[in-house]
Amino acid sequence: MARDVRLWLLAPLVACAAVALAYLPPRGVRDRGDRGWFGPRAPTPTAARQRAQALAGEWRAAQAAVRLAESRGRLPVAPAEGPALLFVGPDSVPVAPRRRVAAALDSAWHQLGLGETKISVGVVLQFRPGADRPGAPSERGGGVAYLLPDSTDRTACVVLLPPGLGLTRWLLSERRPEDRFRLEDWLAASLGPCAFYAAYGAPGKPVRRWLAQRGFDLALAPAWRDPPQGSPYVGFFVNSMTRTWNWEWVYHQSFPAVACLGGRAGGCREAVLAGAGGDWRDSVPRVLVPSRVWWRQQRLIAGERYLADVARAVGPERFVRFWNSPLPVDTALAAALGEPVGEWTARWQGSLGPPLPPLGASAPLGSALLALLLAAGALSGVALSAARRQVR
Amino acid sequence: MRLSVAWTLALLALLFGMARPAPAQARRWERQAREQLAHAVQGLREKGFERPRLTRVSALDNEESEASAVTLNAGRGYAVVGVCDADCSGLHLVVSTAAGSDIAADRSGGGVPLVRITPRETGSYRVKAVMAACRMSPCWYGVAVVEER
Repeated sequence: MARDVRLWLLAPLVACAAVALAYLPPRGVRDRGDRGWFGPRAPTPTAARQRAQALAGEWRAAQAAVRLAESRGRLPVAPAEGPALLFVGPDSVPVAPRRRVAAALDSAWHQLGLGETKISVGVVLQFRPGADRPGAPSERGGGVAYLLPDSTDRTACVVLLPPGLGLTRWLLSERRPEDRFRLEDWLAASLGPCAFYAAYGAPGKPVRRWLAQRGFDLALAPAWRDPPQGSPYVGFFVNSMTRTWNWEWVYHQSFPAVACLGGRAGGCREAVLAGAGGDWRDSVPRVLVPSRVWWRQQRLIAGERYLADVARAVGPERFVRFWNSPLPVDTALAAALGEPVGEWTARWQGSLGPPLPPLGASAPLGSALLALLLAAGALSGVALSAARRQVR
Repeated sequence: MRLSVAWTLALLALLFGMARPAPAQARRWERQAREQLAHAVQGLREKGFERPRLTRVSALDNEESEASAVTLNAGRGYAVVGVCDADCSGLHLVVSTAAGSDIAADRSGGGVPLVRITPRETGSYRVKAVMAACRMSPCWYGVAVVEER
């Protein structure tokens, strides 16, 4: 084989090797051996199993609604400045844990800056849901549930709290509280939308419909007194060494949520105002059962504390005007924020963690340099070859 | 005789309902509405009105309304007065027949609306309270229907 031909065969192979070295394995793909820790570790369930799990979820939600309705009538009268507390479970709940929880709930109430409120809050601590019915899903997998005020009772909001097995053991024991776990913080966070109702009253119809449409996902964490340090759980999805997001988790989020995380104001607006128009039903569901794994896929990253951060940023007076406004949500929210919703939200989102790489069809710098290098090599080769091939 | 006993009992029941203090667990805003209503009724009584034929204290969210039924006598003068808590700046009152025809209303936007009516027919009427402006929902309101002596 002529030397020139060998050169022409070798040059593309070297170029291909360079490209392979630069791009294999592809970015954003998990190693085969690593099953990842964000997604479920069990094999992907079959369609029948998924259907059974969905039915079990609906069953637990219905059971939670029943428990709330049953407990509502048994709640003691709430004190003037604090929530009412009801224990449901074994009769042998010792006095000390009862007092400890009551004191912690009182602290949580004041930690949120609440005093005497127009809408009273009742907390039902359900230690043991009782024996499961044969063939029925276990209630132990259920999470927190809320009975929101409506026209039948405008002045009461009830929280059903089923502590997990470990927390139940700890709560019922006589041991001293551990430093790592603050019962007050857990109780304050668990008050969820009921804390919003207590602090700012019942929302106006547009805000109520908007939040009901999206399962109150923007008002799950009453964190208006917390320092503006971002969502605690978001930190789990940022690599502390490289300051980059966990791509597997990012890929689970909705398109507007990722666009907003990427700093696009349009995406932020879409993520926040989803559900704000279209449905004009007058009544909204009274029982709210948020998913226990709401953080897996969100309409807005760290959205659970969005309205709490808005409240902290604009102050209680302006927030109440927005919350209770008869105007459309986008108008009322923009008026409270003093700027378009998308712009404010993009800035807020940017403060939560490291920025995403630029979204969309843009070539990374390294790739662009490699492509230029290969193109320069190919051109040089052609030019060299052309210079040698002189017609005599 | 039987009628007058029943009438006396009804008046006593109304009196009891009006004079009943706010429940122990009643919050500040409910107490405000009850106290203001008692004050307004007292003011009307000093102007020649009798004890109230109807009193109602309840809570409404912004832009919501609630109606109560009351029986009124033809040719008698009545005053319908409304009050609301400190977060409320606009309560409207509408009096209508049982069939739904409005016969009097106060939609001036104040926190203490007052309607005066003299029905032409004896019968059941509806007194509707509309929460027109409530800064923080729900707002407590009170309504009383008082008959002229």
